[in-house]
Amino acid sequence: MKSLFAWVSLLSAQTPASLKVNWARAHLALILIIIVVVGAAAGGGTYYILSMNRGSTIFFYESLAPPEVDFFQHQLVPQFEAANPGTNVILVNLSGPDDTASVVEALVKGNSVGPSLVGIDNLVVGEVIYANAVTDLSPMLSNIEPSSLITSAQKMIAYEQQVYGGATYFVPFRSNVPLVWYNITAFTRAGINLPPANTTQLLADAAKLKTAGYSTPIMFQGGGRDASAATELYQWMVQFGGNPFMFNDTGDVATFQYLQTLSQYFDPGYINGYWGEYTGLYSGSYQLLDYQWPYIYSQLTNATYKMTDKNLGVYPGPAGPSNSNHVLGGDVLVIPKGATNLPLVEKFAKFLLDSQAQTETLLKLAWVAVNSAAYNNLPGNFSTVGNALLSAIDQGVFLRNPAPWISTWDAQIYDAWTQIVEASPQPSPSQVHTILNTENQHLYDYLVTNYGTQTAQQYEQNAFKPISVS
Amino acid sequence: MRNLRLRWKESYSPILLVSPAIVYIFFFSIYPTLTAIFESFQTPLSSNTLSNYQGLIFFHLTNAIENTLIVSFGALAFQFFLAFIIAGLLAREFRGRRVFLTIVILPWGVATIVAAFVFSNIFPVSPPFGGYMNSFLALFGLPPVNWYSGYNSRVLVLILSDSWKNTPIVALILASGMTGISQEIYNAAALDGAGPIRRFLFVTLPNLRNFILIALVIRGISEFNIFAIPLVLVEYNPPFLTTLAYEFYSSTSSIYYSYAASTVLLAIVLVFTLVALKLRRTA
Repeated sequence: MKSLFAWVSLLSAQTPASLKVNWARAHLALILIIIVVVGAAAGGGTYYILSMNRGSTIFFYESLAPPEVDFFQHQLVPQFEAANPGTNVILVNLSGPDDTASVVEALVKGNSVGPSLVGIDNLVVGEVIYANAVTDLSPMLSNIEPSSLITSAQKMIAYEQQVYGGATYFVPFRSNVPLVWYNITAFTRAGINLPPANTTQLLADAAKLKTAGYSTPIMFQGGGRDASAATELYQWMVQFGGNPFMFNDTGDVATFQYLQTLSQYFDPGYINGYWGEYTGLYSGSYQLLDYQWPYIYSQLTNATYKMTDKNLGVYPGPAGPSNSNHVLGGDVLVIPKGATNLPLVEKFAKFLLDSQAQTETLLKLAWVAVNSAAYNNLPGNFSTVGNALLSAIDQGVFLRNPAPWISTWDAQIYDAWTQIVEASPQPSPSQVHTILNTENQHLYDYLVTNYGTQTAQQYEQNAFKPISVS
Repeated sequence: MRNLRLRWKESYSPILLVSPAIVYIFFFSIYPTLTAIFESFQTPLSSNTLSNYQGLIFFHLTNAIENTLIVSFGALAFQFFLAFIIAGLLAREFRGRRVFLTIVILPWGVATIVAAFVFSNIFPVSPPFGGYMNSFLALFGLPPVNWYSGYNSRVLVLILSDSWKNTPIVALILASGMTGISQEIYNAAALDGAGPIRRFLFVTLPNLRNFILIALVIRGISEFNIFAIPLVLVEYNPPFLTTLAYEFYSSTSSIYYSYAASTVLLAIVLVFTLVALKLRRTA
């Protein structure tokens, strides 16, 4: 009571002349306070309304490109809501796979998961499993999983059950295979009738394009953003017969030596090349876009770029010296630990894996469907890119091992890339070997410190390697 | 009773008045900072370690520190050079001064990420040898330049981009200091035979010392935290302390490297700030 009195008297004390109220400022301050209070009330009200509606609301976290968001919000989600009256799906689009992993962990740590389903990159799913942030789906698998999963998806689930002691933390949701894109007009001008079938021919065609006046014909995803360089290099190393995780086996070293040679034909923009880069194929900065995700087809053929099948070529890409296997990208579905209203969440997961939704995403977004029923009765004019995708899958696909330390490997392979390919002058073959040996040693040391000697020894004994799922 | 109230007012009211700010600073600045420092010595399995710092050294921490210092001091030098010229003009009365002031301030109002994208069009990575700067060079018959072909040109692009955005605030601080210098001092110096350079060195600079130090602290701390511009223009090559921290920040396993890089950056900023404050006190 005393302190209250003191505080009131303090406020009512005579104000010194130098501190007399400036009424204009006081009004401004008052307006600002009102704005803050009204804003807070509006925010709180919205939160309250959302909380009230949580019984019939699902939060679906994904990382989608703008056209994919559009498709989800205007086609898929309304279909589900129409089939389930009173249900509301809120799509929360996140900026990238690492972001999704962080959000899942934050939701769980903050004990504010709610009725949530998450689509997360199969590459980083190991991180959220390791962080103990996702639910074991085994008891509800029969409610979610379609009866007709494609072989690679079945193998993926079998793999996780084997690795995680019978638990099933994720189910494949959408798949993706990177393809090679080229400018048919430029190829024709350079006297090339078909895209390069193997890596030797790729070098020869790059030289022909250069002779024809296209001085920097190849774009490579060489930037560090969103593990772009890491993903692309992973596939190259597999096609050269290496185990990318090791850095320094024969195939890995051969990959880097080859890419050093190929880099003389790279567009200089390759240093920032990532999954969002494709417009140079239209503008003529480069004539061959080395491995990019299928979504760019709808972008390059839209009203802005107006490319057509006459000048935009797409195919699975040149075969490597060892094989022509493709990395199977894409997302899996997980349910964060502590999620509420599980029956509704399961229902939405089942809807996403159902043949109708999978067919639509295959045809509209060129996502490789994980439900084999989605491939029944496809229209005759199934797109060029769709055929290239199916052809790539036929050649063989593999998964990057979702080890929890995959991000560290990403950073290291990017480090090797900048030292070996981006460096000017580039290191000699023996120096390349030394750099890759150092990367191997560092990852081993890192695993000893952070995951224990046993994991590190398993690593050195080649236990972590690409998972063949074809 | 009256004495008691007065004593209470004198003793506790200042504490009461600043306590919201103290609480805010503690929870939103000090606590997260201490947490990050603590986590930088942790493994994903929550054991104590120095390995995150060793790991950073493997990922070229020394290069990142070197690059951060080079770009920070390079940009500061360039910004102060330009700012002195602009402030010299702003301190005078001339027709169109307000328009000039508005134009000068404009870049400061542009979001950093937007400035970075603007400069990615002036100095584009792709198409090679394109962009506004090369078009400008072509007007004088000069050959196009690949601005990202080597380390020096990359650093130059970063310094130019950052300076475009941040010179205005330095110029404004210096200009406000210059307007406070009495014209009589300049007249007296001129009478004693001091030319423009000597007047600048022996009149302007000493009188602006406090303003220079304020600008140096404000800009210096921001320079060490330079982030969006390098991320857009050169990504992680060459690395900076901020981009190194960002490269590792969003994964379960490598976030501890991120904490370590942030701690190193914090240490450098603290040393810089302490030196600048010491200089100010001396002044």
